[in-house]
Amino acid sequence: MKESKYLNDLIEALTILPGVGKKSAQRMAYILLRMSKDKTINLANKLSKIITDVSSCNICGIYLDNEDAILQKNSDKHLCIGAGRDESKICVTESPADIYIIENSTDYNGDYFSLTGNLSPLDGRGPSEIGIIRLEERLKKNNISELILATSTTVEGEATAHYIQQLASKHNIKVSRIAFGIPLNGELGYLDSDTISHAFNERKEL
Amino acid sequence: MSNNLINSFIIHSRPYSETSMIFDILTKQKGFVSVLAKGVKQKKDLSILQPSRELLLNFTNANLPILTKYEISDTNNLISTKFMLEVLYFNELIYKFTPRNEPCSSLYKFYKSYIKYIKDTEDSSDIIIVGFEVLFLREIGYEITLDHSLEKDINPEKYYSYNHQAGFKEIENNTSLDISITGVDLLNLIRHKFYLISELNKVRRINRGIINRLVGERKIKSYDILD
Repeated sequence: MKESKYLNDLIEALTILPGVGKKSAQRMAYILLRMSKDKTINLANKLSKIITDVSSCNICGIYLDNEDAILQKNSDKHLCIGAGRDESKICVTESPADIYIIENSTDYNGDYFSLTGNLSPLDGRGPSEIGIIRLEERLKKNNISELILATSTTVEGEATAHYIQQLASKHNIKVSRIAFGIPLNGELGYLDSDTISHAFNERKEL
Repeated sequence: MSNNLINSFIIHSRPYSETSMIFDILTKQKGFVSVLAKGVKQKKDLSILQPSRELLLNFTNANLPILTKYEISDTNNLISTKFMLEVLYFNELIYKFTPRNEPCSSLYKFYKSYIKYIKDTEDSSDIIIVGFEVLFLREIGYEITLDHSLEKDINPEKYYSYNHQAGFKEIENNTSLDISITGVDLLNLIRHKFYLISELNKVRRINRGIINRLVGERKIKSYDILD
């Protein structure tokens, strides 16, 4: 039976999305075909726009429209964060997405810095690949009082946190690590021994 | 499928599809192998599948074996986070120098004992790194050697530089361009008394030269981190 090469290409392309296997991709592709042309073109334009018109802030790494990114590049101030925030505190994350998560879940009132991953030599990721050099520049230039490390708790995340801690200590900057352990409403019986061990070791005085 | 649990260490992991992962593991019985852990990202106990701790694993006998069971070998063997950079480096050496699917029980025994040492030690990072490099090179057949002289011929007062063909060789003075170490440090190095070496940075540079030469065009990326 004859098949459309373009349709098959789209199905193949859609499978790069997380959680989308071949069947889901097929369903999506057929829905796109059945949809009104305006809607499909609108989606295609939006996809195209994020490639051409979105870039990263050269200070914190979050995604901005190109015009805002250029404004930021030419400004001495950090424009991404609103007025009244404590710029002497920087929360370091592994991705811009983590910044949005923290911003939407906490009342943290400081600044941010997003790395582009964590240190993993076997995956070719060293300090320059994940943006630590940029972070160091920021530590040198600005008057930073505290770095809050919000990297993941994997070996790579811990190694990244330790590396940044060593870097910050050269600049006499206080470093803290976000807490991890028992989740809210969690029951000990459902947790693995590592999590309990970590939570126990990091207990705090009441 | 065998029900035997195999003593293993995870050396590296990478995502495979949305919910699965591929682990490169060093095992006592089967050497260095890759296993596919299907759907493991959704498991609550994923956190136990991490490098630097001994695990007991069961997996199938396929070309790409599938992980069927995993548990911790010893619950009290977590390494301090301050040595994670060193662990990443050691795992890169294991990954790049260990042949796949060949039994390597001696290397496994060495790695296990070294991980235990890191967990318990208060030695500096330099001592830990130099010790691993020297002992690992010996495990893979590249023991740091002396020029034709014997240990008893080493003069503690003299200087020695390393030559890739001949090994350590006495030099007239330490103004040579090659990195040189004292006879005392050389004796401590070949006796594996790393904590007594006074110029560990020089020994690290010599070791790095040996490793870079052996690894060839594949770079050791960890050096970007450890510098």
